[in-house]
Amino acid sequence: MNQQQQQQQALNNPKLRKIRVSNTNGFQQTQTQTQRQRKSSSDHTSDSHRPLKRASSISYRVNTPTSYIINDNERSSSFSSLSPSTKNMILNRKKSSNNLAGKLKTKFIKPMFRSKSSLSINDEKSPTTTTTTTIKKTSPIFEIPEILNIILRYVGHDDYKRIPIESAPIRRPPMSYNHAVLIHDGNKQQADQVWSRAVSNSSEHKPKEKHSSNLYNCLLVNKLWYRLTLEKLQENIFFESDEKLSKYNNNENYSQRIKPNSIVMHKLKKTTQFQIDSIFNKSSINTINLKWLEFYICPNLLPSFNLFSINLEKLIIPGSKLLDDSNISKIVQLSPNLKHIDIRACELITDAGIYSIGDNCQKLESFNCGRHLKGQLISDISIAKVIQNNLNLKTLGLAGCGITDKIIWEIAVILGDDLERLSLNNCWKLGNSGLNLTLKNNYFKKLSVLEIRNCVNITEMESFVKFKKNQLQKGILILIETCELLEKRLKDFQINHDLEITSRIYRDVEDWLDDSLVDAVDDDNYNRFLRSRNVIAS
Amino acid sequence: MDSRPEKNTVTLKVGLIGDAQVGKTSLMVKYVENCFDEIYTQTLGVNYMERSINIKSTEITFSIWDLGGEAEFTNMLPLVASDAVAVLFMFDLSRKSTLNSVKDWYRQTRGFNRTAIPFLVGTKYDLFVDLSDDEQEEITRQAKKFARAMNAPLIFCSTSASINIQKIFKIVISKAFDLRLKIPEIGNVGEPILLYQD
Amino acid sequence: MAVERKIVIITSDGERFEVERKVAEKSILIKNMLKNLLPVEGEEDDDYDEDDDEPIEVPTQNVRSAVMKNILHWCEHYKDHTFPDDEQDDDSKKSAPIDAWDKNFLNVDQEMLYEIILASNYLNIKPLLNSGCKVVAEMIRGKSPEEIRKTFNIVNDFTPEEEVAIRRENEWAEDR
Repeated sequence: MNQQQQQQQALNNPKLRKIRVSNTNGFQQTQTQTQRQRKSSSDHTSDSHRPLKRASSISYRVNTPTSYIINDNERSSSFSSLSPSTKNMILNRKKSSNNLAGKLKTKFIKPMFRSKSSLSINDEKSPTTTTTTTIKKTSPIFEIPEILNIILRYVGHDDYKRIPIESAPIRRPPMSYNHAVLIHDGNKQQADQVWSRAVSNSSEHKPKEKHSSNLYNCLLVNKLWYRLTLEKLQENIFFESDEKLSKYNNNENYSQRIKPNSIVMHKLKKTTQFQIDSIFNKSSINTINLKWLEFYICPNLLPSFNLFSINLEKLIIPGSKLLDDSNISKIVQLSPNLKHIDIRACELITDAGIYSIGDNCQKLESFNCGRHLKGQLISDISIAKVIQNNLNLKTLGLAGCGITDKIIWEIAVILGDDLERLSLNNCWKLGNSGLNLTLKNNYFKKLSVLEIRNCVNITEMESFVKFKKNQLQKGILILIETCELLEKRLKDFQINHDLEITSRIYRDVEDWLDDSLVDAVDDDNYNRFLRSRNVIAS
Repeated sequence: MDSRPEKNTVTLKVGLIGDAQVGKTSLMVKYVENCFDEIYTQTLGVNYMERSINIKSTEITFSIWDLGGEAEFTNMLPLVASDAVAVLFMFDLSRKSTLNSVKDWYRQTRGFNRTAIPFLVGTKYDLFVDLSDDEQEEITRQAKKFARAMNAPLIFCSTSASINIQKIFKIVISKAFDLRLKIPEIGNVGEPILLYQD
Repeated sequence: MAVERKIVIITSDGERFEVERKVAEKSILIKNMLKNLLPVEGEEDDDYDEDDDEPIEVPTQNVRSAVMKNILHWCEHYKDHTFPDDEQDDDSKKSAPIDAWDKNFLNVDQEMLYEIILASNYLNIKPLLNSGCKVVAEMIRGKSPEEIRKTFNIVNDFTPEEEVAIRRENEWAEDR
């Protein structure tokens, strides 16, 4: 249908108003329009001013010579009478409008096309924004965006708690029944309990509590609430299920880029990289507030590179089968201000990748590259680089890596004063010349968690026992996580040590009790007392 | 941490319980600071003092808790009694009524601590010797009876004359560690009683 | 040493409230007004000795007297308290529970609560505004959209189709 035909059709519909855009004749046209307007709808006396106003406010889209506006009250019925192409023109115009009203109208035109029948019901429910049909008026605080914003902020203040997080055990479960017995000092009952709990936890999947966000309900209250709430909801984007993620498509919804504070993907198996990249592409996400990026055990997914910026502080991407040296290298160059890096079980990463981290990041407070397999790909050299450049490290996870006692000394000397948590589980190369000597020499002053499971070559336990005592005296709660073998070694040593001490105490006290010097003093006093009495008596 | 064997510290909490003005605070001060003041100052609530004895590589610290004897402080008894290794039930040798009160103190204290080792300590032996023979005999007999019932060592002491003060705490250590003591016992009326063997 | 000048706040219905300067200055709006009207404290202008005793009048045409009374009561309570600069919007500050005194103070009927919130926004008294909003937030949490509208007499300007569309578009946010 060409332009002329469209115009013809529009003129025939008295309910439509027609306004010329960027046209010198525009003013005249609208004058005519006004007159027509006055004839057809006398109740809307204020509307007579509208055409003029609207003419001045619509000055975009120079290409379309004519455009159409539907009067609010008549929207529902008149749309259906339009031809598809007319409707499309309206859609095109509305899409470039900046306000929410325009956005919503654009979207919601679609369902209206499909189901005409539902349009007639509940007319009262959808009055215009200017008239109020209820008796009591709502307080203006819900209409002032600044105030409503603050209210909604408090409504959703604890929403960050709903972000899926790996549950951190306070104590690791025991590795075998005997281990449990050792830990609980021979108390078989307690060991039984703890061990059976450990076994059952690993097999069954505990369903996580679900709560709806309080903010979700605010989405549906009215349009202003919708706009402000959506902003808040988008501060934290997280998905635990592939299903939900597939339903999220932010390209349609928001013409503005969203500014999330955190993006967390938790155990997604079916989602594809393509899906991720299309959701998180550059044009939809503004990373200025993005501090936390987590892809927890999503083996086949990598975060899109445009998500990385200097604002990123926390990167958690354990269990990735795709993350390799060149990826991580690129990442840390884009985000040198990272404070927390967790790349556990990313088995493609080798010394080269770790070295790159050490080279680019200097603000790390926690770093974890622990793994079960391929530990030999990480050695002292790269870890040393990380440590030398990151003096603020408080948590260091090196489980399963091919590191030696030498690096323990580096850690002790460079980080020793501030390091709080150190994991060295399954570091098979460690022996008695690393931890033992450093602990003896009073390094690791603030250490409160030390994990040394399966470090079978550590046989000298005295330094650990003494270290534990020392920390307890300083008031630092110290936890040394071990395996069955090492626990036995520890306990054996402890028992012997305690026995030694106790017998020494007893010996000393016995000697002292036998010593009669003290008694002599008392006896002297008594004799003196007697003498003084006798003197008085006599 | 040095390589020499470090000192092992053992702390023994000792509670002093008894009627007002029997000499609990004086005993504590005498043992810890080795001084004695005739003037009486009422203990408001609980007093606390520490004294450490160095025995080779072991250090024994007495942590002494002294409860005011006035009725209004009885509610602080648990503070003094709980976790104590030894409790000294004290009475004034010159006032028989204070010995009678021991029964009650003992009962109440037992309620808070069943495992503490009880001691029966009679104070002011220097005034005791001025009593008549009959009175001395009566008090000694009564005290021995109580001590047997409580299964506690019995000691007569004088803080002002420094009699038996050191020995009390020596006996506390021997009982706490269950080690034998070689101090000769004294059981005759008129003498400062020292009975501790089971 | 000049005596602290009194400030007289005049409400929209003409009532006058005389308060100390530091009470009035809890409102940043009034504080800025006074900054322009008065010399810096401590400075004295010898020529205007007689006027020093006269209180300064501050008009507040958007606040009526009943509301102002309450607001000034709040200001009086906090006159010596300095509130920390809360430019940062971190989680701990957001989640801090409402101050007990504020909670009690704001235990008034809904209309007055809203007016207090509006007034504290106009007068720029951030801590009071935040407390008021926290109270309202508590009334919202746990309610369905219909319940929220009912409680606050909010008009639903969605059509049923729009509602359906929103629910569908934002399914990812529900029951997360």
